Amino acid sequence: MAPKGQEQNKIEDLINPVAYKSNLQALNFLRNFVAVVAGIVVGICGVVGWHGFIYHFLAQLSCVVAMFLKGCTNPTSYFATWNNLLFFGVFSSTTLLSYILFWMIFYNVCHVF
Amino acid sequence: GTGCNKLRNITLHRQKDFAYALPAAVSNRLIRRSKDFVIRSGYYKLIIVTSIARLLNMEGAHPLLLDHAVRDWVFIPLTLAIVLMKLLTQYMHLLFNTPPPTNKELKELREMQAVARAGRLRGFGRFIPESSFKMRKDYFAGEKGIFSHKAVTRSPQEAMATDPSVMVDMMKKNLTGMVPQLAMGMVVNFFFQGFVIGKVPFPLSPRFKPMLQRGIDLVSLDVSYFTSLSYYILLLFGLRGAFSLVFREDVIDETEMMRRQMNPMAASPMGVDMDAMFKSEKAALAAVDYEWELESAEERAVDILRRQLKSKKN
Repeated sequence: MAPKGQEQNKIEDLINPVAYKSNLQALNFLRNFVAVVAGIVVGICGVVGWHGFIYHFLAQLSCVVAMFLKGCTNPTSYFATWNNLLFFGVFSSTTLLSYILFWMIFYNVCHVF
Repeated sequence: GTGCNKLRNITLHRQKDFAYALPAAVSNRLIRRSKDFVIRSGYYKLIIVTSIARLLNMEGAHPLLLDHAVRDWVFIPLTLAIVLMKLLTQYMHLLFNTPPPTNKELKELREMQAVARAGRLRGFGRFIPESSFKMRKDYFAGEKGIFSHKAVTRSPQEAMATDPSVMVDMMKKNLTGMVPQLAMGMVVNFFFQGFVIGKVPFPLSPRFKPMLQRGIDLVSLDVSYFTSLSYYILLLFGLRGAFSLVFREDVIDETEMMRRQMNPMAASPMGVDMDAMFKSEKAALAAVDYEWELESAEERAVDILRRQLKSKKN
């Protein structure tokens, strides 16, 4: 994961756009992957009801932990802000819809079958 | 087979389940007789179930017993078919996506570049000294400036009429994008019509019923069950995320295209109304508030030094 770039003065930060974009892409990839895998697991377990979405948000928040393990010790130097790391793509429609879709597919194949 | 076991279990229990037992018995015999008709008996079974449920006016809370044959022959093949179709359209888009040949004249290019340069000037003007900035501003927005001339670029309507390559490009985009999806939707609707395919894992309000159950008019059927057409649409939207894992580049072509259709200004690379752009750039340049960064640089450096000395002291 490439670092963000130098900080020249405290007021304005210079952000290396290529590195920032690649960091965000890595986070996005991880979020999508976790959404799909969480959907499959939840579908196979047969979770029914609205509380199934809690597992989705739990899985998305575990991405933050995964990012820490990957070496992002100081989020402000890899992503712009804490909020960016926590909430980027958590509420995006692609991850949510993928989660719902795979949850549905595996629930149907295993339980309604 | 397994159907016989199910039949016995059901008749031991409540009488409401008899509705499922009866068509199961009928269609089990059908299955055993002719294996060729295994697909159609699956369909018939469900149609019989739904019609008997309509007669008996079943409540929706009762879990529907859906047949194995539906799973085998509809759910999994439909999923596989849509995944393969999306893969195909993705690859076709990649193969056919040659950039349109730039058939613009030198003057058009020059105007586009001028607009881009004016935008950059506005954004980063504080890095150049004041006289340079004024010179550039006058070059663009002055009385004899670039933006005062009439634009030579043709408007997008003229461009579309005179240039056949634009039409070919649009046709290619449509062909590899929307047309296979529409065709597949029609095919799905034709073959797998009139029965429910699966269950959504969470309860929904009745407002979702026409969305999820197109073509089935059962009022008492649980809203969580959906038909194959709605499943097709769900697949289309849901596979975007999974595909973005496989293809790292931008996969969501049809949503981009839909967004482009709703936003015609940013649509084609050459179809911008140059006159309007000139006017807006001129007004923006006149309105920019200019200050050379170097003027305040000494103060800022002093600030930073002070802060660093303070932090070193602590």
